[in-house]
Amino acid sequence: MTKVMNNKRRNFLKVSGMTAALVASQGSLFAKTDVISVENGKNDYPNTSYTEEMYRNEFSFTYGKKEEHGFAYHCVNCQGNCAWEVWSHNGVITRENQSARYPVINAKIPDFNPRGCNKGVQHSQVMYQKDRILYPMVRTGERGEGKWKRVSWDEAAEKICQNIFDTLTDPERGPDKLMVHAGTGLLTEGRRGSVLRFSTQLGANRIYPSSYLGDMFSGAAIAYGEGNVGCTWDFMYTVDTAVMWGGNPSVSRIPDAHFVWEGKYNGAKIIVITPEFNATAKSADLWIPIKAGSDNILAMSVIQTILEEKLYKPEFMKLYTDLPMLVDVKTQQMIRRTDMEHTEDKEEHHAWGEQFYCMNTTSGEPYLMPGTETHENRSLRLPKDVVPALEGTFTITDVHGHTREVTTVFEMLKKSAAKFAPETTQEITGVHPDTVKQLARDIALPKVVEITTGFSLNKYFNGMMTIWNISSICGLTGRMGPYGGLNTENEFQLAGLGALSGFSGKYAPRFGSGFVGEFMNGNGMKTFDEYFQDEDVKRAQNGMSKKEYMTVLQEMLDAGKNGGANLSSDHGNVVKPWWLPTTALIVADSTFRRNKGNEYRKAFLGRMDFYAYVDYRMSEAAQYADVLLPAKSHYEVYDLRTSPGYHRFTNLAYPVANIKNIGESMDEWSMFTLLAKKLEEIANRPENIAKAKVKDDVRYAKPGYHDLSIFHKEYTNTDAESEGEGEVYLGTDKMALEAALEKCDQYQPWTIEKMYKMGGFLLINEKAAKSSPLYSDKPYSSMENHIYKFERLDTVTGRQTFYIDHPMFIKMGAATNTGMEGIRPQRKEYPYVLMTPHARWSIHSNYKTSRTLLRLQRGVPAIALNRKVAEAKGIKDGDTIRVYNNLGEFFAMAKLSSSSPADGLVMEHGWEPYMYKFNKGHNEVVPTSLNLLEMADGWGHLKFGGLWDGNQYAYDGAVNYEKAKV
Amino acid sequence: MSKRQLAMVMDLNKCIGCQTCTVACKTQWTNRNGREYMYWNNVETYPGTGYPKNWMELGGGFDEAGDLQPGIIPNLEADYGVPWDYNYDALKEGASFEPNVEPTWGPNWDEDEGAGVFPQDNYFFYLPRICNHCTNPGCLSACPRDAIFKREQDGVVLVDLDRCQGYRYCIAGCPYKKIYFNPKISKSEKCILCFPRIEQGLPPACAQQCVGRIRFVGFLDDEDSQVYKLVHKYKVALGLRTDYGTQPNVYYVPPTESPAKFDADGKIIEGSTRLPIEELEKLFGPEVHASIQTLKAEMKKRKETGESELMDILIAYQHSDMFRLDNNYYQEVARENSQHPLAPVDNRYIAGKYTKPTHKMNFFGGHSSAGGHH
Repeated sequence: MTKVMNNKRRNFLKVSGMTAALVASQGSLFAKTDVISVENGKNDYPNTSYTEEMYRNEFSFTYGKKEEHGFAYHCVNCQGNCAWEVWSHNGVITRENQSARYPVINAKIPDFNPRGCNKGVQHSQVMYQKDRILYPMVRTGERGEGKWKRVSWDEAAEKICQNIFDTLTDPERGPDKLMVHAGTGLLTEGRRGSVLRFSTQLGANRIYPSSYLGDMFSGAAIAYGEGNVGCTWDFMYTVDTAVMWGGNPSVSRIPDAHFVWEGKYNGAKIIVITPEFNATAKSADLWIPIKAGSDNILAMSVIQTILEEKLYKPEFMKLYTDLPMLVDVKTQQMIRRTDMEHTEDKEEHHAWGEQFYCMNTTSGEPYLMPGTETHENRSLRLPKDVVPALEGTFTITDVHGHTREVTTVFEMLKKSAAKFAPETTQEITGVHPDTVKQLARDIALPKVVEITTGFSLNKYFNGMMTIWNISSICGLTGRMGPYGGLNTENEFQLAGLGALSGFSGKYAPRFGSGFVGEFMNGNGMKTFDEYFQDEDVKRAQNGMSKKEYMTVLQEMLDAGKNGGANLSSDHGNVVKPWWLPTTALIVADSTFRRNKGNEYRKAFLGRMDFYAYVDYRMSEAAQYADVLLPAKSHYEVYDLRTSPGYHRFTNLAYPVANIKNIGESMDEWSMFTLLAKKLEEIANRPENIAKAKVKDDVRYAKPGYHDLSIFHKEYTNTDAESEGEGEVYLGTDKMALEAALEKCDQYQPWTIEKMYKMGGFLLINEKAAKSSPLYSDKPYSSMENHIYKFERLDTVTGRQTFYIDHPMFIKMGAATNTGMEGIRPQRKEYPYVLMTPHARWSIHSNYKTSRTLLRLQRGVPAIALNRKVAEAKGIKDGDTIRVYNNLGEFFAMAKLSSSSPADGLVMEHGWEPYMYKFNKGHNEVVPTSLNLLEMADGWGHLKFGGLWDGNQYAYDGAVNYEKAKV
Repeated sequence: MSKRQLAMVMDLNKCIGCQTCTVACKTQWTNRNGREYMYWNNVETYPGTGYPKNWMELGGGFDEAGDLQPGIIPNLEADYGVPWDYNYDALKEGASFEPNVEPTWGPNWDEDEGAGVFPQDNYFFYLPRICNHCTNPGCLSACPRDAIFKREQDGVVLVDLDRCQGYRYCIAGCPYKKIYFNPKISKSEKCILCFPRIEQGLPPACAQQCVGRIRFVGFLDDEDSQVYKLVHKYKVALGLRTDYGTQPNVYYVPPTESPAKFDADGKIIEGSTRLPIEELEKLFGPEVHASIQTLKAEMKKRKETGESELMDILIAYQHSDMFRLDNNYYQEVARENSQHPLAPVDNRYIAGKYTKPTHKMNFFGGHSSAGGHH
């Protein structure tokens, strides 16, 4: 191609008007068709139809027949969830075009159309790319060597199920050693259920994705007893101030970003707090370039300013927060009912241990606050003669007759915040005190303020503190429901989908902690020990030495092995449980890409006797598998998705007419039904039938065992018991879709046909709303019921939490909000922080290998360097650089940018290791660690589960870089 | 002059640089048949080198006397970028993933880099670009074959692929470098404003699929269209580099929004903007001052009173209202030319000067079911 073009850029091609006219006059000599004469192409051109027909035909080809169009969304982990109309020609998909038919919610608020992004708009291209897995394959060489044998589905199923059977029936292994897990490449309400059902039925373990991805809102869970709080994004249009804290919606919330900018036209002030200058910051009213990872400290300075300038709302605080609760000054323990009254028995002792007091200024006596889980009155409403004190120190006499000096949580908060005056923190945060004060006022004073926390915040060691502190800013300023507040990620609730993934309580999932599980899987302790020094741990864990930290941590880890202490606990979980499987069946999870440290893959593969993988594309996780199964992708299946709650629509996946199958790919329901059939067959073989009932703890299998001899029947609900209960039949993606529509309350009264007619979606009904009404004509914002109906939150006090008297929190000096520096080393030889935010060009590793999208980037992993710093190092744009620290190194192309801070490197995350030189991914230089505050468990509402796990961090690596010599 | 002119307005304050437009265009037209390297729609970060590289310095267009100016044909490898591919097949064999050509340049090479000193005054914004479907196209004037024409009915500029001989004078003549040489068929091709979609009631892919909702499409003589209001009524939408003399029909609401600058101590400089006015003047001409003034005044009015028709337009409450494609008009044109009028495949965007409001009521009433599959 290049030959045809002019290679000499300086070779001017001069065409004056006169020469053009000269050549034009002879034009007809070269005409291929009839001789035509053109006076002026701007008017009455005589030969339009040849070209027009060609392009019309092309359009007609891609558009295909309207009645053959399908609908789809992209169920990868972006959570955007957009309705697409899929065009096809003769059963082959040509392209996608947004459905753009979401109805108007309110004529004065922008609609949700056309919703989509640069990645969704090219799935049609990726699905036919040659990294597609076409057939079941069995490894014939070494792991990762790339030697495969194509096998039949039956052969592949035999191999996988024999391994599962052997693992489960081996007395040395059993369910503890089996992992069946679906990653975030498959987040749907239909298909995902197939893997979860299979996993639960077997008693296999699986781990919380949001935790291992560092996307768990643990700080919000502390504050609200719910991590997913906030609004549908049309709410953003209605606010007075929108703060994007650590977030970049114009890049990582593409379908919804317009609400922010339309809100700005509507008068909103937009504030962006990020270390780098980005696509959101570029149009903001105020951009605050914070030093990476110091967000929790900046938030404390905002709290300090709010307290100092009395910008807080006392009446809100008294009713809806735990700020008036009493705390023993000496022990820092909250005063509980068990401190004040004798209890009859263990149960009462437990119940009263979660009831708390305020000081009633009317009577001068402690008052037992209603609204707690075990209080007879669960409303937050207080009698008229109860006015809680927010401030002061009091003396009370407890049940043992001891005098105790008590104060309020608010006093504890004031004491803690006093250390964080903006002038004091400027050096750490890099934010000028005037800016902090401006920020505090912009949050406190207007009527409606929404603070959206970006997913980058939890990627720092003390990210949990950041989100908790920001929640507390919202709590002090009365921000909930219509007044805005914290926006992590709203999630609507869907009931009844357990019919797909669950067994009405007969079997329960063996959930392992995400961040701990991966830490253990990847020999995290070794990496931690290798990387962090005593000073790093001391800085980040309130002065605790590295030695003590590792001892304390090891004890906590020991307690959680194979479920550990949780199995014998009477009142919920008390530790983070973890398993180390030796057999794994994993679906759509690029595990070697996302895990941190240089040890993970080796450790994982070293431990795994057998590892089967399901996906539609050849990810790094697929390359190392023992058996590979080809899945269908988003446009080839029946499915639906609501979650989480950026909008109120549930999107439909409905294949185009007469779709041509790609290779032998199969949808997950059909695939796992086939596996279930094979497992049942193996279990019923004469040599196996005696072992077919696999013993398990009753927590995971009510009967005390999993009966593999009826596995397929139970899986498809065709066993006698399920038939008797009238459970829905399962077995294909379409059956699952129908079952979901039938069983989920929030989908009523929709059917597939109605969704298709509507344009590929449905509107969830009012039952989807949890903590606020879902009005038909207003955006949703959570926790309105808390302030208007005095409904309790799912926290231990029923109110927003500012205080945790868990011994570990007290030990860490974090019983109430505080600021803590991160664990990232601050040594001179590694002066840069490596920031790897969510990408514009991929959803984690999904779409990272797209030819279409890579051509719109640098084609190889690229990293944005501060222009001045890079130039000083003699690095030019386009150079390959080596980024390194004492853990390892990786190579990437340098982008010289005015948008990167001097002390930071910014690189979109999600690159598969195989995309880098020498297969060394950027996580080679990223250490792993566990924060003891997130490890703490068994307190109030902080008990291990989908709400309270922890985060795997990504930004704790300090690095240096140089021009590469490769 | 064509009888009517279709136009597009792009609001640069709302552009988030996501490139959904670029990819929508690519899958609609340029992922095949020698067009692979072309980006009929591209989005570049400004300031930056642009696409193709340094296009503003490559000549073309007209001088004040109306004479066509000399121009340079960009080089594929150096200026457009080679559409590199990858060894997808080899991933199964355990190989690393590698481009077949070392990438050295591409259409979005300097994404988000910007200019200035971090964090005091650095800035950037996005500049999406398609063919301007000029009233006085440089490509058309430069064509020695007279093989480029403007469609009578809507002013869309097309290359007559029957007559084009691939001389490429058009590329030199276009000051925006928005016409490309297709090496496979040895002819020039360019953005066609998705006329086949428009004729059937679908807005151009880049516009309908724009998730930032920055693009309005309509006829400039349709006083009810948003493009008319933005270009003629409020005069806030301006042509790009109108000094090239081609009278472009794609208009831009210039960027007005940027965070305040910081002084050396890290203090906010109140009332400052990061967007250098001289840069905006270079792009959008002296009219940019009045445009910014109007935009700022209307924003202030909106904040204070809650009212502003201009803000209402730019906010675009209903996505479908951003497009007025006048389908009856196209049907009439087809009948006049004795062609079979094409039935609209979508009826949400077909209102227009000659497509009566009664039509509109039918099509838009009961919004939720409009355009559904029946």
